[in-house]
Amino acid sequence: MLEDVCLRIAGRQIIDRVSLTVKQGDVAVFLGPSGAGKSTLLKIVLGLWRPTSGKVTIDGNDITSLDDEQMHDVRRRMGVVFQGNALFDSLTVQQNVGYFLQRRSAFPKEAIDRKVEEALAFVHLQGQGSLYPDELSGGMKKRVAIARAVVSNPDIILYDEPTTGLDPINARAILDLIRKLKARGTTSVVITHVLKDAFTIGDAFTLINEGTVIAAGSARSILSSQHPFVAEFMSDMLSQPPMPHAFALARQEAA
Amino acid sequence: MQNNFLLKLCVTITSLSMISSIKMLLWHLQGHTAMMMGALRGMGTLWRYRRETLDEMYRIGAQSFPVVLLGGLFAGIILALETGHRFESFGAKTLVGHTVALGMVRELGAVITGLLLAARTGAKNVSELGSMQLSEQIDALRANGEDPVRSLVVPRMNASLVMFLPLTLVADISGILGGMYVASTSLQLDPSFYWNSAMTGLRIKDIVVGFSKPLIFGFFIATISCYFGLATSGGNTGLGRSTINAVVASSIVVLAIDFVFTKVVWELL
Ligand SMILES: Nc1ncnc2c1ncn2[C@@H]1O[C@H](COP(=O)(O)OP(=O)(O)O)[C@@H](O)[C@H]1O
Ligand SMILES: [Mg+2]
Repeated sequence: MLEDVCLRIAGRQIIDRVSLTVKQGDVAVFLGPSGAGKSTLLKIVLGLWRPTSGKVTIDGNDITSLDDEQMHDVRRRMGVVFQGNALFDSLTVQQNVGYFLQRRSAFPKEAIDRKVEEALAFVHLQGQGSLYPDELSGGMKKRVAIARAVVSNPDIILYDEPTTGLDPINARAILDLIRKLKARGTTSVVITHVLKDAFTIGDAFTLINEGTVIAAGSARSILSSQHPFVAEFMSDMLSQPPMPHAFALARQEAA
Repeated sequence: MQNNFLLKLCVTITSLSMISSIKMLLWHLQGHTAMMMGALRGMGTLWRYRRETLDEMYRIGAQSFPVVLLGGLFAGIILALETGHRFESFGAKTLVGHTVALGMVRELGAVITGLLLAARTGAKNVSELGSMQLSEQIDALRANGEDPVRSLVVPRMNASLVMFLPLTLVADISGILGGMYVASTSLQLDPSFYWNSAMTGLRIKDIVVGFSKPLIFGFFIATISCYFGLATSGGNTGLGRSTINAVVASSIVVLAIDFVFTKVVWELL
């Protein structure tokens, strides 16, 4: 999918010779600490940033050479869930989810309404369409953002830190949605720095730091990498973390 | 020797900072020009974004009405007070109506409306588009094949083009009426006399020049503020910086264009 991609912004090398491939139908996870360049990589895939050099191919089409019109056709096949959800706060949930369908639209209004209802039902938000983003909790906003991404039935969905900032229950609900979409055959790219979530849903992994790929492949090939950064980044997962003292005490008393 | 060194240091620092601000200026100028061209090419989408345009017309136009009314009123009052007493001292206070009308229609009405709206709609556009940029809403639009220049900038530009003219008219009229109040209370000039002198003083040329300014002002204020909004980066401080840049740049542009009109266009017509 990506080949030798480099991006410099204002003289800084943000992405440095990144090559990686995402297989169709997989949940591909981009892992890395904040500032590693994960979001930037996602924006390169969406064509929002044009790489300084290198190629980005989606189903054999090099998107770096496309003009805006042709890019629209490629983007139409992709859905994206931004880190901050990027919901339009002057529109209701229903209008948010239907916004882009309505804009492009060859569809009649009833068809759009039906698709929006379906998408909202998919994320368990049926009947909440008339609320405004301000009135929703973090987990609900994220689900609306997912509904907006899936409503046009994309082949590829990109998620930027979908569980960051959510409580464990909501985070699990989001991961379940990603898994449900995988079952439908959707290819997913999930960006995260949360190891537990990454290994819960991922099929293939790419560990990124400071704009370069440190290790890539299955969970096994990541773990067998000799790169010192792998050990550093994974230390929490690899060692059995001690239970926080107060928690252990309370648990003893309860038993 | 010591002084000479310090002087050179100061000159170097000043010229370096000037070079960097000129570089910044050229950078913004290029970005603004590119966006302006995109907006002009996208003007044909007026019908497609009619709802957004009407919305903006309401918020730029109707909601600016009180501010512009007051701005014009005070300008007219001050103009009448300043000129009235001077004229009175050589017995020409009947000229007050003429002066206020000419001053308001040719210069002050448009400039005051321009400056007030540069601040009001300028700040509004920058903060709206800037926060959309920061919260990735602009990215979401682009990622879904929507051109933010067409869907966000063009409606704001068209709304400004339409609304600035009637608002300037409001400022002109409230200024002339403010002058009338001053003339009748502190100069004991009969209102109908004032009104006559005001209306006969105006020529077609004054009106044409006075009312073509707001179109140009509206165009530049809208495109400059939208440009800075879309170019926002760097969180809340960045948004603050963009707002300052936009309001300052559009105010300066209003004054500069006013100068060009007064000097060049007036002579050409
Ligand atoms: N528009 C931009 N201009 C300049 N630098 C940027 C811009 N966007 C991101 N960066 C820089 O690129 C690096 C990677 O950012 P990002 O992709 O957001 O990281 P991540 O998503 O992995 O946390 C950061 O160091 C950030 O400062
Ligand atoms: Mg990020």
